[in-house]
Amino acid sequence: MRFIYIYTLLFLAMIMESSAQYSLWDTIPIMEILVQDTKLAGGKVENIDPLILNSQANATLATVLSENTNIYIHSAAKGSIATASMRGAGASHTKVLWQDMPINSPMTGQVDFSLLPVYFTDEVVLHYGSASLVNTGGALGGSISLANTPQWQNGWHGKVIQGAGSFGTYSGYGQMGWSNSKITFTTRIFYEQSENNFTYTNDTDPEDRNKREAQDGAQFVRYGVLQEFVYRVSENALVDLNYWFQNSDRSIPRLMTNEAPEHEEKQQDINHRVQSSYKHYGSALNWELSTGFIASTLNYHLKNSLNGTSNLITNLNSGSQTYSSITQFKTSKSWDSHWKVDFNLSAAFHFAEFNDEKYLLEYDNRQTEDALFVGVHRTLGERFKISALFRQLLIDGNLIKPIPSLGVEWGVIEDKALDVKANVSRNYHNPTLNALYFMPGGNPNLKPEEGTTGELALNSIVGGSSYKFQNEVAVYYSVIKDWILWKPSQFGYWTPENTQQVHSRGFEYTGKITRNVAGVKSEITVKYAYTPTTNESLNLPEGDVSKGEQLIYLPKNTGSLMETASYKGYDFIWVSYYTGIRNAATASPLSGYWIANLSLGKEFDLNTTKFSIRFTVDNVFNTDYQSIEYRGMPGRNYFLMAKFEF
Amino acid sequence: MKSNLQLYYFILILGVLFLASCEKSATLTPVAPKTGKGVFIINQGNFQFSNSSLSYYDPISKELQNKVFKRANEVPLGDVAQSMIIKDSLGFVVLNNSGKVYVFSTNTFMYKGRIKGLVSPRYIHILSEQKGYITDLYAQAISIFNPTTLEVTGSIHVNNNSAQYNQHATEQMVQVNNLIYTNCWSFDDKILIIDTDIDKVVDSIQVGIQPVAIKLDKNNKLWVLTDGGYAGNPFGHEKPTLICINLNTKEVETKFEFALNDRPTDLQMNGSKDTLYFVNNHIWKLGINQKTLPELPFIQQDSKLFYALGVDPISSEVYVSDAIDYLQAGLVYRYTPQGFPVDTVKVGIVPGAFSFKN
Repeated sequence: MRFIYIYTLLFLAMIMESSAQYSLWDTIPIMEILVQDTKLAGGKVENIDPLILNSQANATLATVLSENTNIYIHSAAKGSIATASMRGAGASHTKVLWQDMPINSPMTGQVDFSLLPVYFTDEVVLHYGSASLVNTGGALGGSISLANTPQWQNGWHGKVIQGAGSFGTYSGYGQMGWSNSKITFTTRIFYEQSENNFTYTNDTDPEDRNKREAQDGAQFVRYGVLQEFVYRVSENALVDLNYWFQNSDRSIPRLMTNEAPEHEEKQQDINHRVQSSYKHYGSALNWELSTGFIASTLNYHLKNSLNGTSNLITNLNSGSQTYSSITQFKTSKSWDSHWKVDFNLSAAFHFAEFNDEKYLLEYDNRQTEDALFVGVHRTLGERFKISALFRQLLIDGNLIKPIPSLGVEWGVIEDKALDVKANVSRNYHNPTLNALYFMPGGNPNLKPEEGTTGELALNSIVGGSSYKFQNEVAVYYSVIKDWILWKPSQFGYWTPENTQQVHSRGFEYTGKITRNVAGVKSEITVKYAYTPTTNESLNLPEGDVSKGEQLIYLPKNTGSLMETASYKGYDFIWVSYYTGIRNAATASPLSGYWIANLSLGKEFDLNTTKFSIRFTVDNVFNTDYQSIEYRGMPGRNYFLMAKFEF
Repeated sequence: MKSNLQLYYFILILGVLFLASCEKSATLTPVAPKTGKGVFIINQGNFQFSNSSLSYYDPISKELQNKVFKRANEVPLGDVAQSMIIKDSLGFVVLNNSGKVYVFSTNTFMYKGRIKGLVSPRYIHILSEQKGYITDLYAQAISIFNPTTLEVTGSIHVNNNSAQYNQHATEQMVQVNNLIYTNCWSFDDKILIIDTDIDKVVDSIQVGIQPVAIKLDKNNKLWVLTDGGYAGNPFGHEKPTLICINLNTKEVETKFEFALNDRPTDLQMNGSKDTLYFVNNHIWKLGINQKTLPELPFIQQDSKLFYALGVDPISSEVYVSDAIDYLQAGLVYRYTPQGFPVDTVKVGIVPGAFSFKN
């Protein structure tokens, strides 16, 4: 069955004008976003196709990254917490930046990708491994940059999107703005809710091994506002201000093996993020001063029914609050088109507090994080580039070990027909506030995690205006030492230790054919990653056999096939993606699975306005699968969206 | 043509992709019935992973079978198997985070029934053919059930209306005539006394902080092991203790104190109920009439991490578990009654309890 649909899709000759504005390997330095159009020579950078972002306005970044990249997203069904692993590294080793400001939680070091709506993001750029060092330190796996693109069309502009779909899902998005040549402001809002009561097969009941059940207790409601403002002070300078508020309320469902009576387990996430910057662009010198503030609240409670009654009693009720403020100064100077030097200073302050109302557990603590960054880039001739980066962090006034990186890029054959890229780096990830100070269990003696990475890649782009054939092959080897792992202790609570050494190796392939014939364009993209990531810890306790074994829940093989096409306002997107076998904690591995999604859209141009509709079918072949063991996943489901733009 | 070549190239790439998707998952082999004497090891697994399991060890042949429930029934056991008792040839295994107790044959391992609709069950005790109790961590009540029909028939409220600590969490049970004694270990310091004729709490005994295990000796004296909490515990932190209570007077007759940072985790008794065994880094052995703690351990820890303990009621052989890193399959060491090693077997994740079939 798999053979048939894969090879059939290959022969679909789709030829349409793609609505993508630029392809995978072009970088358009958008003035309002980048003061430092800086990349590590030889680093791997990937842009998410805006066509994908446009077609999945109702999705979160968890879904988009899971289906369109080799990043592994660890998550149960839609609405549940989603963390990202890049190149086999941990969830806290993936740093996320919004408008160049890191938004990882200072408590956990992680980001919940189910709380990043696609609708609020215009550009998603992935920096793998060493390439992330231009943005931030500590991203041992890589970093993901999110940015908003201001709209400059004159006068009022806006859009309204309404969508509805399976499992009682409804979402609405709106945008309104006004601009002239000097000022633009835009307000975006969204609202999403879902009963999320999809049906799945529960095969864990000894009396009925093929029980079909409706998911219970997985509902969610999310809403938010994004306010953007840009003022062009002069031809060479601008000021921008962005504010992002979001509230998410979700119920957390039980495992399918659970037969306890009625309960209520809920989590509320509230985030306020403000960022503002002043940017100056000169012919040779650019500089930027920016400041930002993030306040995040997480409230959680668990209620169970008092035996024999339907009263719910509260068993757990806890809350956490974090505040972060970050100020950055960045500058970039070029000399005679061959030299470029970047210099950044940043100062951040983090505060976190946690309390548990039932067990009276609490802690609060703070941390300062200052950084210096220097990047030197040299171009030799037309086709050879070299970069040397240096980052130095100061945590609570203490120097941690320096973070260096070196990269080279060589155009072996001209016009990008064959590029060779290589880089090496040493990176450090500081322990989070929870790991250091949590009550109970925090370990203030933790050392930073250390990651050493080497990477070699070959890129090729051949072709002209009627077809283009792009290939990229990359191999990397990463050693992460002193990986912080939380383990149960003899005291009954969990405590973190620098215990693990992980060797992450990988082979990644991306291939893309773009065809542009008689004004119509089609694209086929193939991705594959082989990611053996094993526990190579030293001094394991007697009887420990995890050495040399693949880390839990990390697949060795992942891949995807995407086909896009458009014709006279119609467009078509097909994505099939594969997640390979994963070691689970049960020592019975979780099976690999293929999921296929289809999206069809039609746009109508009505003079000054545009109307479009989109119909999406996810899990087209109704595959029964589990991403996390004993958590159901939805079968085939549908979503219909209508958009009106002016 | 160039574009055809590219198409074929893509077919090749997809072939590789497809081959990768041909990874094979392991399958479990069935398990043969095991009559005769045996030891069940109850492996807790990790919370929220539903990876608990039962291992079965034959002390005569030294044969170990892992995942016996799953292999016999082709379904997982559940999330956090806390404890198990055997009555006649039925095993009752309490699945703490699956809200149920599974009942199965201790000879064929086949599922026979379940008691479900429990909140966070911990231990089970059968009083008669018609009545049994199941303690609970969160329900602030003990469930009453019928062991024949497996129906929940009522509950005993143990809610002390305190805003904090979900008191009382109930844990192990021992029976003296018509009274059940249960320890409240979680951020608590009480032993509750329940009259089983009226299914109500009638009294309580104050002990040290966090009584984690209780055992009854041959003189019907109650031994209680407290872990003392931990540094920073809002309920308190004190030295762990092992105390002996006269149940007629409810007075503490003997009290042993450990060092402040010790962490005793399990307390067991031999078949003749005259000797106690407990885990406190090493394995210790104490006669019920001894007045001082032993100077030397019964079994040295060396580089092992002892977690739980079982004593064969007939042979007095001692079984000790080692959870290693709490994430992978653990080990069980078997010793003679004199403490000499006999066997080592690899079991499931976090082996937390033992149950003996005779």
